[in-house]
Amino acid sequence: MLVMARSSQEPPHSRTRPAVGRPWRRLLRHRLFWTGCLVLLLLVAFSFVGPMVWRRTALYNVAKMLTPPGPGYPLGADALGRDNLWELMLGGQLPIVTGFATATVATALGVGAGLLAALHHRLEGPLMRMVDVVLSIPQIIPIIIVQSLFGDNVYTLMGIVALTLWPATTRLVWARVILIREMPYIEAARAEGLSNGQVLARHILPNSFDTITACFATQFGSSVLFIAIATALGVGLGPPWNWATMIATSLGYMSFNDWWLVIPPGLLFAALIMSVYLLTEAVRMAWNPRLQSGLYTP
Amino acid sequence: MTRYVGKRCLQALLTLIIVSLVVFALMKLYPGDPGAILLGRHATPAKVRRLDLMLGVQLSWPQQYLSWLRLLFAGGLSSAFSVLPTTLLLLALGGGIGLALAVGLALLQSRFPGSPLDRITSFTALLFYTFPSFWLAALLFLWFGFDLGWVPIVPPGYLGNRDFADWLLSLAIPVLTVALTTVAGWSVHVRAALEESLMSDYVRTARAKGVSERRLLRRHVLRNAMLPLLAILGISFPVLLSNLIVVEAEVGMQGIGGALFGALYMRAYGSVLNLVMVIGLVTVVLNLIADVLSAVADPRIRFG
Repeated sequence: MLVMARSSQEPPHSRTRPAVGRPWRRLLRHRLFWTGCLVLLLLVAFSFVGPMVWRRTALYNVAKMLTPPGPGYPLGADALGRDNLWELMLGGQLPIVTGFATATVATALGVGAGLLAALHHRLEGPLMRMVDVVLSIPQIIPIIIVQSLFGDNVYTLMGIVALTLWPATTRLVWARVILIREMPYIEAARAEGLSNGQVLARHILPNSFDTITACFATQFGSSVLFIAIATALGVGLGPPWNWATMIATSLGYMSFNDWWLVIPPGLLFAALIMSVYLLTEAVRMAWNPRLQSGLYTP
Repeated sequence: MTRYVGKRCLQALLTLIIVSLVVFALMKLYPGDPGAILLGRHATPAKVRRLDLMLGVQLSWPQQYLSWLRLLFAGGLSSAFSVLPTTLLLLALGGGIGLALAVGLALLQSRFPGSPLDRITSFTALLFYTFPSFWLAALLFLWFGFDLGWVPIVPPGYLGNRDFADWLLSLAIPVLTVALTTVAGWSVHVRAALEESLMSDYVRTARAKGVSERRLLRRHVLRNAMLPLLAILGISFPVLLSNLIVVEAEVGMQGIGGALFGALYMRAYGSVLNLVMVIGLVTVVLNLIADVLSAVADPRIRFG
């Protein structure tokens, strides 16, 4: 079989060489993909199906307060005698849902703004200036300010977190798209008479897929982290269980003797973020096998 | 060069002005008496009336903005600056150690790519990257402070013991937490830059000339790999500061974080806004420095 050298000008993905078949198969064979999928599914099942299986009550049982892990209490009990494992299960629902929702909104906003900035010359200046301004403040500040002054519910929290996180994506997407727009195949597509929308859908988006996926991974990690920080400080998610509040309250007992209260929530956070990260890495590498970079390349 | 720096300074100033406008807008949008809000718990009707008049609620919004700015420069900013040094020190130490670890890690990994060492260190770095910073800080604090007693658990100077060694040790946990959680993010970029450098023409030429590996690394590869790192550093300041503020408040150090959360708790929104302005100032200045350093290091930025 004649092996042709790949020219760097040839678009990796376009309608004439549909990328639909091979990436899917590569993805399904990828070890990272299955690991990430598995962990994520386990976490989702743990949080949403778990409480239905492992039924416990929220009633206090002061006689059993701060019981170490043992019979009847696989992961011990908290200061009010409630089952820790059950709390951990319920506690995952909010972080998972808010994390995905916020990350999706932030990525969508960021990608939209990045595309606009890279493709519309008039909008480029103002948009990138706005990006600079928002990126020049530590994200936690507006989140805390807005949450403590204006809103005390989940929706304002998700809104303000998304609003502080989108510029990071915009900058990366913009940098990628300004390289893509200079490529010969874009010029060729326009010469063919493709409309802007078609060029966007057929050429620009598939070639920036890698950047967008990487951005989603980072956004997910950042969303979960900032929502957790805000909650741990008391201005975030409310009374329904979540891992961040569990960490915050467990700190009040100020001793490592109650390790079962402090350690599991953080590990679960890490598992959540890492699983999504591995998933997106696998998707990126399946989409474009030539790619090398990633936090966990081996 | 001067033109580039001048342009960047102007941009930084513009950014600061926009930040102050947004902060002011947030302040105005909050329903209620501005005097009462700013005084928080210290509010009495007489003080509120006086502060209101001083803030000029009878004036138009632009004039109120200007008078708020005047208040800021008169005393607000300087009171917030007093807590800045600790945070800046923590930032420098944490960032420095994180950077050193990242570069070291990247160098190690590019020497032995794909090896078990590579896999294990990559995974560990990633693991620490995904840990919530406030959780890691709490764990380290509980373990090294309460259980082992190596690190002071009371803020240094709180009980009247101004011990330098104590103070130094108390820096350890925020620095360690910040460094460990940022290593993975930076080492990826360093590694990518290193690999790109190692594959470039000038390295091939140097090798053909017979330059030793060590000299090659030090003189050529590392220097060129540092350039994108400066850019990444500039971008990661906000996240770094966010994590640092929270962690520092958690272990009880008297820095911007502690002051900010204390003020929030006391509902002294005047202090909160001052601190926010100072934090914004610090971030903008740090970004500016990072940009200027990049321009110094890479002539392509100045003239490109």
